[in-house]
Amino acid sequence: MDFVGPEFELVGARRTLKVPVQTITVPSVVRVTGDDALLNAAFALGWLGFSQESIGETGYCVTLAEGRPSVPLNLNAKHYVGPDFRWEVSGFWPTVRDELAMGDLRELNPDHARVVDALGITALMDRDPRRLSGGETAKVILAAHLVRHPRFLVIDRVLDELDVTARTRLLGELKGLLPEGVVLAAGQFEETGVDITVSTDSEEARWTAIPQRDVPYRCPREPTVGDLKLEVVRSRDPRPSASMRIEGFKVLRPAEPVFEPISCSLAAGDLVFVMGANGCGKTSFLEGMAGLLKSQGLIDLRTNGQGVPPQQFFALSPQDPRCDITETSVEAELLTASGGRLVPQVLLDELGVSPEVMGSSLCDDIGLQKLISVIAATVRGKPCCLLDEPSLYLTRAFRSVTGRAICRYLNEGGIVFCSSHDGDLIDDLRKGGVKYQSQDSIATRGLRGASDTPTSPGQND
Amino acid sequence: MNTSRGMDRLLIALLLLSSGVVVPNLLLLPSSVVACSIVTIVHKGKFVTTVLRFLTLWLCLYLLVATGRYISGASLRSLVVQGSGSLGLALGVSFSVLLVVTGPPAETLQAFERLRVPRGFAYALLSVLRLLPEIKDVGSRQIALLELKGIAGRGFRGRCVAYGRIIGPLLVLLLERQSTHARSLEARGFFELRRLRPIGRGVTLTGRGVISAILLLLNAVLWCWVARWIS
Repeated sequence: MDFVGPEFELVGARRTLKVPVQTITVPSVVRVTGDDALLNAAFALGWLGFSQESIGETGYCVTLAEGRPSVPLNLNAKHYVGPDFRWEVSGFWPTVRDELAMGDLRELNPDHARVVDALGITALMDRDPRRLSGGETAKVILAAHLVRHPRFLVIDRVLDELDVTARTRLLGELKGLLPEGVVLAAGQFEETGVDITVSTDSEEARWTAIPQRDVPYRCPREPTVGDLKLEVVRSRDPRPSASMRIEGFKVLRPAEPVFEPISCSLAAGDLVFVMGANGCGKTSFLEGMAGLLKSQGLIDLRTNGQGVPPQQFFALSPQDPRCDITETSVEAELLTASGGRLVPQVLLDELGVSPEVMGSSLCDDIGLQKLISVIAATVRGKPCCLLDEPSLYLTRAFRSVTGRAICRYLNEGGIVFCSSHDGDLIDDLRKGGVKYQSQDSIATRGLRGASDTPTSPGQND
Repeated sequence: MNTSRGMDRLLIALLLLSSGVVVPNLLLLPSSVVACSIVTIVHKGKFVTTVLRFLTLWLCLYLLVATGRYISGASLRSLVVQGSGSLGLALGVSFSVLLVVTGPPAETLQAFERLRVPRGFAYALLSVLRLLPEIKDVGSRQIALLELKGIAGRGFRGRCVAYGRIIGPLLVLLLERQSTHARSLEARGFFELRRLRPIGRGVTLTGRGVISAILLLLNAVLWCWVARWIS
């Protein structure tokens, strides 16, 4: 069976994209890439025949080619999961099982069990969906859509939330789960399991068939399921300006510890990668350090030899940037973040923040919100930055800006904690001019019963 | 999930709403305190928490109703002493809202469904009722992040300034949240799922529900009788 996409044009304030007729075989997994995340989403929605109203939310307007009818699709067969997937959790149902069945008293059938297994959420079935981590929530919401067997599914930047193993496994099984479906996935993930890549970077959408690879994607850095790992990269030129010592630190949520106690000592210029599979406690660790969650253990924070409270020591960029942004424009947000001082133009030029970005509205684009949240954390003048998945929702161009902001902060003698599933960002930081002396790993065991994604062959090679 | 418990909750809410209308204004507060006691004792709830939540809700609703009536020309004396009927309604509504909000929403949703209330309507009603806890959750997180940035000050004044700063983004966030939520439920076929069996076929109230309903009815009758005896 083939699906013939329509010929249309997307017109936005910054870009215009022509989309020619394209026929693909069903089932297929199509990856949408490009430097404008909103355009990628608009393309996916427009190609699958979503209404102008849905596409309008991305800031783009779709114009169908003359004489060509709109794609005749049944509305209920089309599903969209976007970066605001956290808000899809209804809050009505007490367990993940009920969330998937939506209170329908039927038991989950074997078909549902296959989806649950592919996403590795069997261990989460009896947990409260409102108490899950970001990655676990993404898996549950994807499962909630997949069990409804949509004929067309748009996954807009949600796969970036998943740990590498879970993402690779899901991409490999998507076609089996939706034998009559077409999946359009936008994001910066690898191409394993993808049939076609479509790029929106040029004036006309470019389609490329991807040969299927049997070799599983390898992510040697990500630890095994449930473990939380701190990879500490020591600066070659440590400075006495700031230091911190953690001893027996653990986060309680609500009263039980999330992971086993962690201890380490850091000096100015050090970089710590917080790594682990979804649900191992990365966000809890960072938010516990910042004092947003209840914690136990010693945290000794010093600037120029003097002890300081966490509020004066840490700047946090949370995983979901929407709670962090209080202004409507980039300029106003950066002004607020830097305590009312104008961020110097030299610095913005150095980071690669263009005047166009500075004048943008922060209302619609979650990628821009994330970028500004990370930059704001680094210009706040605090000795330590806690960055929770700083590359999430970002396109390639925004990722390089983020990388430059983090490198600049490190070179100025800041300490950075950075949680990420993204091996590319880690490599970018290493190449970004930060000089390192040595590297050591601190691993601890997660205690919260994380999702049960098995380790794929070759992962820990 | 226990649908019978949801049914209990809806029946109790209905009784409280009715007693708020039939019991005379001056006796409403003592009658409501007795009603609070009945519900919390029979359902093993926390008495002080329930009463405090109830009083806060009642005060907000009553102030809202009274302000409206004052603007439309009612005298202050009539609002405070006589109540002009609005006090009863405010009490009934607040207690009923409290009861529905504090229970598991899934049970209440299913109970509505057994009563043949359309799913869309029940969902909309519960979403509105759950808005307050959501505002509290999202708002406190935003305030905590502002405190970490050093923007929100300490103390009452600092909190007020911080709330002033987040109120706009918070409302936008909640609106987007509700719209995403509704779109997701629609796509997942929530409003088209197989209907549950209606009430009367195998679905009953629990023993506690029956006991509390009888006691609440007796409570309303008692206070009506006291009012007649006084007058």
